[in-house]
Amino acid sequence: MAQNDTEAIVDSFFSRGGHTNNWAVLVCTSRFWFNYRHIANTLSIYRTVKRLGIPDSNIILMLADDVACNPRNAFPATVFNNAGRYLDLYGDNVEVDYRGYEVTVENFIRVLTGRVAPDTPRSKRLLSDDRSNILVYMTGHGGNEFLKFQDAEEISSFDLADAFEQMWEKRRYHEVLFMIDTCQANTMYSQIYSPNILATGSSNLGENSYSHHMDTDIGVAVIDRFTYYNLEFLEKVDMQSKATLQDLFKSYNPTLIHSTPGVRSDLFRRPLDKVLVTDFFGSVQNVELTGQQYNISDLDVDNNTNILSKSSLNKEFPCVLERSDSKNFHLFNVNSKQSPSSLPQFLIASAIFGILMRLVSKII
Amino acid sequence: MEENLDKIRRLIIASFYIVILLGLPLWWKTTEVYRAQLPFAEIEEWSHWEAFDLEFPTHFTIYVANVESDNINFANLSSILENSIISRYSDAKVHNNKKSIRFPVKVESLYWDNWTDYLQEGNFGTSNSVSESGRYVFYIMPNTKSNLKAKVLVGNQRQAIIKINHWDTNVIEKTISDLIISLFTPEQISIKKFIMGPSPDSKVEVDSMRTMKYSPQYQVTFSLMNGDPSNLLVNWDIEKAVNKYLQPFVDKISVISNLIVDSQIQHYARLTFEPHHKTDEQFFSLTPELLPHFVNAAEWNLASAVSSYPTLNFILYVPSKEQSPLYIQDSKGNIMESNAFLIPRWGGVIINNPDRSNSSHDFSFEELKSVMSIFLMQLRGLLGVQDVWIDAKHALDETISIEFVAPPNTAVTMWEFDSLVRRRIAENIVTTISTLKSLSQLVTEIPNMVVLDHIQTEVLLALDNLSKSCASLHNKQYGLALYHSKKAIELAESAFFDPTMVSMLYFPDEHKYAIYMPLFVPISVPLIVALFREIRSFRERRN
Repeated sequence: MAQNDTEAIVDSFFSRGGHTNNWAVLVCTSRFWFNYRHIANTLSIYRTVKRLGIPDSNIILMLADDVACNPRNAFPATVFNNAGRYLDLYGDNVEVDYRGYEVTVENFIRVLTGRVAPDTPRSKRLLSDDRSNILVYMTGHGGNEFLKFQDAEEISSFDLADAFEQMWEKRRYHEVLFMIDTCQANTMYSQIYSPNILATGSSNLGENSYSHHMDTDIGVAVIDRFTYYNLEFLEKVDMQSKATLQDLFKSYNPTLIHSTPGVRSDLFRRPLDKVLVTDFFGSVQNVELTGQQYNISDLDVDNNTNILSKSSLNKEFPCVLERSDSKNFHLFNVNSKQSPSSLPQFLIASAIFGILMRLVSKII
Repeated sequence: MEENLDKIRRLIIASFYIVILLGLPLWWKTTEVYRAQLPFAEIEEWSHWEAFDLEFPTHFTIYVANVESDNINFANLSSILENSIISRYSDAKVHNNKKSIRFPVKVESLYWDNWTDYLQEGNFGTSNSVSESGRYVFYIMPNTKSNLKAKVLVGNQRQAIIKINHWDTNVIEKTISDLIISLFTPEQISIKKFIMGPSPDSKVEVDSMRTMKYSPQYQVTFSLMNGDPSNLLVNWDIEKAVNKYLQPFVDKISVISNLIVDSQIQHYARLTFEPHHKTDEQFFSLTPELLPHFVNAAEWNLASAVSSYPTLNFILYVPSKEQSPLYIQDSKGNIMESNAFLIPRWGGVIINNPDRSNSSHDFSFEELKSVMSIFLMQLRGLLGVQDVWIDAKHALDETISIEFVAPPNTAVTMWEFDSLVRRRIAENIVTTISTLKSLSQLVTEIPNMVVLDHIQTEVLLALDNLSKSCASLHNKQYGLALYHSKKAIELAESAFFDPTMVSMLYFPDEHKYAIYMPLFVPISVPLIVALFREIRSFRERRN
């Protein structure tokens, strides 16, 4: 190997973007049949990122997932985003990671910040690093600086901004594209303060986001306007496409969308006309040609005597596997910590209460 | 009777107030968030680089052949060398804020009496290679045959032989210091990069993009992808190949990170695009522009749910009959001999065009040798083993010829291994400090966040391991330093990513008031009214 005179790497062509992997977190915060369009929005984006090359393992899909098999669905096991019903979004292999009541603010924040329980499966974790570009897409019912999660709770723009900051602190992303389709959506990204985040939303403060059209057979609206026009653009993009986000943002037409889409790029450091759509919606991997190889000689393989024998290696590098033990230690500690702190207090409280009762009854 | 009733009423009212007065502090105490004290001051010290001294000492022992000669004075060779190396190191030193990093050098020179025996025997080093990380041995001897100024042979252990043409103190001194600089500068640049943050230097950037982030464990998956099994069935003897070719490397590198190896075969692995084909050519080709789309992420099932550790994928691709033979072209249009490419932080791909005369093909153990040797090369790159020889050759001038002994079956020489150990130590220390800093910031910013005792324990242990790691570095105990830096980073990460550390779980004070108000305000109205009434009647009676 060493004597190989060829220059190390014949060709290396890394794109200037500086990311090596792509992730997508797609969240639909609505449930129930009449919110059909939000599910369709999310599944449409899911289809697009998959089509452009992000593998399922890198997509976290949070979806109530209650419309495809809803009794009111005239076309069981399908979700369409168009009255023409050209494309069944539910057709092939949809991998929902957080389903039904799992779609909560807490779980969403946990996914972003990586603070998941130790027994969480890999598919429910955002395992991004400092070279990851992440697409965060959210849709649902929202208002000024909040977004409702399944009518039960809400996430505020501050929570979201803090979550992004915690991600940045731990370098869990290289760049983020935050996209949100809800009423007064642009207020949701107003509080973000971490670098390298590009944000776009469907409507300004005081504006509603409207649905695009309804399917009379399904009986409800099937897609929102902002997402619809995004998709119209994205459908023309393929993996080799050189379309930029600038082109995408320019394609937004407020008269068609019926609200004013917003773009926030002050935290983002690359010019938008240099950012490919596939930097976020796709996964175009950089490659490097391998020019050399390591020569394994037969002699080496058969001859296992090494000058530095294994025993001396271990002496020099004490490698102890204590990882699993420390995990158990955690669990034990969590449990043991909480009960003793509350138990004595409860006992004291009940004792005091008992004494009081006796005093009062004696006086009476 | 009247009097008695009044007394009872007053007692009842009083008892309610007593319960409230006693209950308030109790309520306050029980709703308090539990916060274990974190060593904020100490973390602050570490993050300002006040608490420690990061240094990577190296020790060189130089055996100089004992030639009877007049024009040589070795009495102060070691001190001259030390000074010249240190001064040249500091040339490249970057100072940013208080962050400083030192690379102290110690040189010891000895006479080498039985060097003539070496010439007779023809092998060296095996008998007296006291190999210890951070200690290097140079053997210097005169050489008369060559017309080059010096000839260097770098061994795969921590030693090198230098044959010098012109037997003179200055030449020896110059050659050794040149050699040391050229061998160690690239590593120092990348260590500085960890510490000073990203630099515009593109070479370092590329390396950092390729190399995986540190993890105590990686999952390595070898996949044999068959384009079309209807024409050709494939199989491979991967288990034997891994055991024979990869195991020594895995054993060696496991000191730094563990590798879990598994393999799979997938059939009907289609490409998403059509490879180029020119009518006058007998083959299909892939240009560099097509390679990023090679891995069909949607259909090839490469995700593994076995663990949450980072995965490295290595794919041996057998194209379908309609697309074979398939070759990779470089940007100039030449066919790559290795037919392989690497995807940074992801893995490697090799395209293989097996013999199609039979309906099935078994990749034998021998056939997999060339495949595994490319995978090994890619694995080295992904795990951050820097090729020492490339930079060394560029840095040295042409009058010095340098050769490197190929590593034994481990695929990594001790020089490279030491360099990787030092870089990983630096990376781990820096990451641990920044993780702890983020953690302390988070806890300070969110006053309602619970900090449980085990978080405190982990933070304290992480700090302890940090200082132990730095102390071991100081004493040149690189093995211990690595061990402690690994512990430190694991503890810090597990504290930072602890599931209880989510601010959403804890309510800010406004939320608490919002919850308690609807309950306590209605209760308090009759109490307050009763109190006022009693006070009024009390006054009336006095009057």
